[in-house]
Amino acid sequence: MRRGVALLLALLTASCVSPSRTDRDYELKAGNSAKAVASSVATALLGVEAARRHRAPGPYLSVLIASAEEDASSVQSQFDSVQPPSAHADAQRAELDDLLSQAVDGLALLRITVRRGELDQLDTKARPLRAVLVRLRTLSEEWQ
Amino acid sequence: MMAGRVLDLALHLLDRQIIDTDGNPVGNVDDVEIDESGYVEALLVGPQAVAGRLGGRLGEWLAFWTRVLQGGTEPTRIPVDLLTDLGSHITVARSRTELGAHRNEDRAREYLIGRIPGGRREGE
Amino acid sequence: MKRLLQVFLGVLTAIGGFVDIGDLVANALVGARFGMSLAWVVLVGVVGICLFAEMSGRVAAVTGRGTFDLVRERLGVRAGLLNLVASMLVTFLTLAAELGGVALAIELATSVNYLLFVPLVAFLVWFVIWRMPFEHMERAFGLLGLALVVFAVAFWKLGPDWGSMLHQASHPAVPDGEGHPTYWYYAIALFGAAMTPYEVFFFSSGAVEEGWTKKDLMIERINVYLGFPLGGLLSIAIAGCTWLVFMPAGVEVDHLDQVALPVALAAGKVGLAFVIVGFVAATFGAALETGLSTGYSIAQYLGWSWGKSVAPVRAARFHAVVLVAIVLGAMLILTTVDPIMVTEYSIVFSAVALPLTYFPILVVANDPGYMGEAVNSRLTNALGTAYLGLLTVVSLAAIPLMVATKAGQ
Repeated sequence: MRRGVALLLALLTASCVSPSRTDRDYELKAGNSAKAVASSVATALLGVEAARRHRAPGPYLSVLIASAEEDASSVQSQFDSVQPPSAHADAQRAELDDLLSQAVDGLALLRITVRRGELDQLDTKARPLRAVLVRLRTLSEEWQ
Repeated sequence: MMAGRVLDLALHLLDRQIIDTDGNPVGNVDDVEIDESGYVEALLVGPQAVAGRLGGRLGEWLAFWTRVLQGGTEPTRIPVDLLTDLGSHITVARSRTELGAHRNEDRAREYLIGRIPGGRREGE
Repeated sequence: MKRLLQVFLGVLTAIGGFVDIGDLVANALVGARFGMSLAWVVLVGVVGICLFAEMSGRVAAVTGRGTFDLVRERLGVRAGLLNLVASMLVTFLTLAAELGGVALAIELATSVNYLLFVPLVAFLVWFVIWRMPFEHMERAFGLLGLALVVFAVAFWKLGPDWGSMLHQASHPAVPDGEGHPTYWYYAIALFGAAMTPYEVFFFSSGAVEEGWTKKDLMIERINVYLGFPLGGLLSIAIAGCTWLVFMPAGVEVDHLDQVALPVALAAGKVGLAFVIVGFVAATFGAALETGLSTGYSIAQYLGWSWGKSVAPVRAARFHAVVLVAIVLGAMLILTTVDPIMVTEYSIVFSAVALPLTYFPILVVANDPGYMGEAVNSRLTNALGTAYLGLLTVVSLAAIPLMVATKAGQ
């Protein structure tokens, strides 16, 4: 009985610190993070598309892009807090973290541009994000 | 007036809506009072009566809070000879105030609703 | 002529009033992830809500009594209390979600943080309940909610491949990359959103407030049988828009701002303006309905005087409950909990509470002692019983699926 409780407690505490006991676990987490941030980036890029075609006003775009940025940065900080289990995972962490930072920075740049009212510059400033999106999608498929 | 009718207690009395002589809701039949020979003497209305019927912990809990919030411990008692009609609701030949079943409503009116601008206007 | 106008306005109100924050979020989310493969659920939900709304309206018109009055009479004090507590929790969560939804919709137009609007929105909701005559209130927000028809326009403009859409809708299959549990979890969420219990409390209590009699039954039926299915079509159009725009882009819907994006892309700034007006009207209208429903349920259970058509001082406890519910709902949203998450939970818990609400209605609508000639027909009864079975299955499956899928992740 007591052993059962101890085991249960161990399992519970283990699941609280979001561990990745295996490389495969870690890879899945990385893949999901890539997918989630890809979704935020794609949302913002659709907003940029609407702005390019003069189909959305500034206040709306600012809300849309800010919430995409917020989501992306919260996914990034969650991913960063996961302990990589091996050297192989370290490499994956470095690769994805770099990409996530680029995504968050790119979204922040869009937010700043929108809030300055420079809607006509959005399309140009979104260019780096398109490349980031492609890489995020590749990684998320690779690590499923 | 209603004396001598045979009724299924659970189906025809308990939990029915009671309407007073002015057409105002008095409450639901929360419990009934029965004399030794099994005749219904009075209808009981109020959270205390609900607590009695619920029983168990839930009942105790409800009774406790009713005592704390309301002070009085007795439910409103409506003798059966005041009932004038038993249908989809039960009609009583007295007003809410006469029955004494209006204390909580009065409190909500005095302390809150009556004080809000527009609270004392007419209905639509 | 006047009567025709009345019927017409009633139907329009029912369409505009059908969609609330739960329908908006559930349909947008499901469209982006599952395309048209869950459209059938909306259909099943709409038939269900038509069936039971008509029954509860008929009961109210014939007996002059609201749903909870009957719930207690039929289930007794104990089961009735359980029912009351469960329904109140769900309705309260929905109220909070709608309040948050109104504030989020205003944020879309102003880009000012939604939390700043929550107290104002809560005050306005209470004020409208306090002062605006029932019929005007229902009509105003129902008609404004029609602005959401822009989703249907946007869907048409986005130019779906109608053949493949019909095929997807009529041959439902779980899309690649999604598991069966998630598919069924969202099916339940969508169903819960379409059949939200508060709609029935509100519908039946509203019928009592407006003093319906048997003569009004014809109009009631037209409103329900035309208005709700058209409202359901509107829900499907929302799912269709997010399907066409978001699914190819791999976007998951987590925010209200995303729900509006397909319309902006397809119909521009004017379209977006319509969407925002529609969001505000639909969520505000539903906040009124849920706020009133909390008061209706408690007052009817305890046999208090209730309703906004009587003088407030004569239904003081009822108004006190409504006021407290609105204040608590606003406070819940002000804790900065995500209103969209509150919405998702509220629709799944709605699904859990479904049989509790609909069982007593079926029983009473079936009782010739109450209903006289207006008792359920054999067909209505058969359908009602079949639905009750379905509701029970849905209710039992909801929580296990929620746990198994980690709320649909």
